[in-house]
Amino acid sequence: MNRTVKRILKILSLFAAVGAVLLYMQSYIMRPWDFNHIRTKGFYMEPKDSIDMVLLGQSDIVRAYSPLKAYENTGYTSYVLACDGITAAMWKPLTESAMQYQNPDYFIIDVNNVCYGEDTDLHRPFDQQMTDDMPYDTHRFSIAMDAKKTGSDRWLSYLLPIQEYHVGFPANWADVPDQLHEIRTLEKRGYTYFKGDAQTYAAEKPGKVLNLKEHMEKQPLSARYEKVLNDYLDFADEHHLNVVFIQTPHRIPGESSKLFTTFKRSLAAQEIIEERGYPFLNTELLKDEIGLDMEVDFYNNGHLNYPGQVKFTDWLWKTIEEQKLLPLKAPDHPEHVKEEWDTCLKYYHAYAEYLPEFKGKKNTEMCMETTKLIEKLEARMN
Amino acid sequence: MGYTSPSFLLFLTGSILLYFLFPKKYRWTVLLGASLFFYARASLKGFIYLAVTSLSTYFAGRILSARNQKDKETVKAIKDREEKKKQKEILKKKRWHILLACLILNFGILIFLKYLNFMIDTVNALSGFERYPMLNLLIPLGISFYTFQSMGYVIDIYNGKLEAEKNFFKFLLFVSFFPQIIQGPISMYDQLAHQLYEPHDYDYHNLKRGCELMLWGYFKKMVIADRAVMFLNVVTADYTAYNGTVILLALLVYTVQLYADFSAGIDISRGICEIIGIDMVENFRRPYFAETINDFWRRWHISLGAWMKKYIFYPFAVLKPVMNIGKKIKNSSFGKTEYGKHVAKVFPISLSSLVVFMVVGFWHGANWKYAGFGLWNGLIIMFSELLKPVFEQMTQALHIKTASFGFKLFRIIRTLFIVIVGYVFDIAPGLSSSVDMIRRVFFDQVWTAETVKTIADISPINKDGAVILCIAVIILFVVSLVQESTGKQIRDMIDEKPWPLEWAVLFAGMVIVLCFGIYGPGYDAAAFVYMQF
Amino acid sequence: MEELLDILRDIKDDVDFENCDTLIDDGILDSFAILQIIAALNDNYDIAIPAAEIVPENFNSAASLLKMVERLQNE
Repeated sequence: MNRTVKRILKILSLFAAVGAVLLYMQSYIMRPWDFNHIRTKGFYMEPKDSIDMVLLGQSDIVRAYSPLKAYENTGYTSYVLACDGITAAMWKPLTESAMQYQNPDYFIIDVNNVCYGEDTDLHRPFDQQMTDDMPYDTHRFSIAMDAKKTGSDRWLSYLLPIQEYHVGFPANWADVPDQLHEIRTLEKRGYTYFKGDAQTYAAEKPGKVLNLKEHMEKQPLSARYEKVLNDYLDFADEHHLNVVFIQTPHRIPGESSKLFTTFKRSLAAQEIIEERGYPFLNTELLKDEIGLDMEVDFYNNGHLNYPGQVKFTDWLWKTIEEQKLLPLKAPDHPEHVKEEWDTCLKYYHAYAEYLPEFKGKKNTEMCMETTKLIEKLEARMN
Repeated sequence: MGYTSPSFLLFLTGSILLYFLFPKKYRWTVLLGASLFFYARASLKGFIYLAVTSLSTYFAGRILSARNQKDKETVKAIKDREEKKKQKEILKKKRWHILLACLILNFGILIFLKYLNFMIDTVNALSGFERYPMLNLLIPLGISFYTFQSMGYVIDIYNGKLEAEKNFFKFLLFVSFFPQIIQGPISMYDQLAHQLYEPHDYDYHNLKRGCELMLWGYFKKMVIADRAVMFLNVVTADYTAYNGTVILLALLVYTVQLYADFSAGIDISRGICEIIGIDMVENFRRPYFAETINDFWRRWHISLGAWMKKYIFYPFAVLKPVMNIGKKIKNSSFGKTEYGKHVAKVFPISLSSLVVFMVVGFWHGANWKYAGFGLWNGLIIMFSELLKPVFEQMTQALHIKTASFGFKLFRIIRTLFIVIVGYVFDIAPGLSSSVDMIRRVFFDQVWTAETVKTIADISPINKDGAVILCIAVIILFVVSLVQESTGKQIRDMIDEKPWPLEWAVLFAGMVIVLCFGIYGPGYDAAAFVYMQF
Repeated sequence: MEELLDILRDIKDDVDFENCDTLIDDGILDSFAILQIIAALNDNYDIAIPAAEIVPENFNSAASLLKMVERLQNE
């Protein structure tokens, strides 16, 4: 072989080896790992066309809604395609991605993140973290490009996360083996048991809680997110999406609270959305109807806990059915999908038994605890 | 375009490809184009100053070169000896004025842009009120470097050592050459220029060795320097909040960080030049192994030292008044003694060293603390020379084996001590705070668990990051030790090994730099605390 | 030449000035020695050696030093 060709091959193989190692490092070792990542990764593992409903939003909807409870009640399969802290700019690309991989008939969108201020930069790491687990397709690329267009200097890390993670690496050498084990276990199994659900039983005591019916002031959305909302509504019109918009329930401590600003903006969002002919459920004002107890059903002011989640999920589906907010067709899934979801339901019930034991645990500890528990349950069930 | 940005690597790849694809005769134009592009991207507004310096120096050079020739012929034609001497003086004076004008213009620009605010600030401080407002001045990229480099050129022409470059654009390349515009090295025209203009052929070994040198530079910068600087920045942001132990740690970190950072940039520059086929002067030669402070300054920022030696130290030291100081001492009664003879020999030269160090000090920055830096180095050199006979007597009396390893180690540590105290002037905000910092380091040492906790709390580098830093520094030390003791280059040593081993080293290097290096927008740990779960 | 060699040996007595021609290249003469040589030569030959003459071509050997001295004397 010609010497130049030999040299070129040697150089290419060097770069290929380096690339392969970095790909492995960024996929398994140098990455953060928690329920958010399980959730996103799990979505793309579900059998094609098996999800009836996709929910979008942020941590609020994640903790307010349980896909397995919904399946138990109604037989519909659903999935929350959302992560903590992500922005409303993710709505459209996530909808498109969901349509490509799952073609769901129904969407529920939590408008909480479209009611935020313009502090997008604070949220960029969260958007980028979610894209870590999305496949390398046009949707991931369009999220990166949108980030670049809106002035992000970290847009490249949406496509090459190693650029984001090497600075903080190693966050903790000790965590790496556990993390590796968790990811590997998930990949081997081929699906998540809890459909990305992340729950605790803990309940922080409430302080003062505003009676919102006495504070019905509207505040306009921020310019950037009003545009995002209107663009999405155009998009929904174009694609004839069956979508219900909601605002998740919170405990609002006072008028100076950020949660109050979000509430005021949600009223403005409601106006825009209802004007365009889409249903909107502002559950901030429906807490009594849902039966939420301020002392028991909230993990903290911003999120529900397990008991609250059960109530919310029950109420949401009941309301959708009774008020015919979505053109529901009877759920019809192939055997293998039903089998998978029934298995998951069994684990969901088993897990629910243990939840009170985890009462004091923080969310960051829950992920590893859950993995350990799953191994125990698997041993028990088989 | 910082050296660690992807856009720089793209620019570099493109420029090198273009260089070797271009017809040989015009390859230097690619270097010029790349340099101008690089400069425009970095400092478009500053470009006007670069242009003024290039044009003025080019024309001064050409005029001087022409006059050198013409004046020689004119003088040769004169028959009368007295007249010959007179004409020679007159013509020399004219040439001197041209040189002076060029020096005043260009050093003037440098002083104005870099030091005017400093001078205004000093006058204000002395007046006790804000007598003059500070000006908002742009400092062009590399002005300290390219000014010195071009002035060296025109001085050499004046001294008849060089012929002026006739092609303005070739000269512009010499002034603006991008691998050295950011932080040097400062090259001499006779060493660098012809290499820039001669076409170089692509050579696989040059490419490989150049890339290896660049990889080593990136390792030093991204894994060591940019990580270490995170801790340093925390302490220097407000040093008064910390005790002497923390400050000492920061100083030691700075000792590593400054060397790693500066030598890394130079390695990357030299690596780039090596790929093209250009031999760029060394700027560092394992300075922390120096046994004397004089030796240190021959190993640290070598090109600046060489420039100062050639254009400031020697010219100052051979001035009649300076040499007369030595004569005066020699002729005095003190000068008749054994020690007096030594002082007579040594004092004028050490005085010149002191002057040079004051200049080097201020070259670094417009701040009175650099006067402290200059005095610290210059006075130590002066006194070490003056007291040399005393030290020699002491080592004899104590029966110290000066060739022993122990004594060598003592000298290295002693030199490091002097250097590290000098570093206080770099990291302190000003002159009085430098003194305060030194005081804290010497008299406020608190070696308790409390201090360890403080360090752990304030450090943006976590425990594992600190481990990485230490391992990387050990690697750096071992490599330097091998280079110092064998005089060989690591690149040559791995080149001799079979290629899989060589490739394994490169593979490891690239993975380490890409995994542990500090680059890109960065993992914002604070942002992830947002949700408070 | 003998005169020059005497002057040189007076400054540094451990160097073979007669035969060595790499005084600068091999670092045998440091800046101190160079400046002392210049002072001595200036005095002895009534010349003023400018800094520009401090180059290896002039200082590498006693012979080249002598050449430089003679040149400066004739200027």
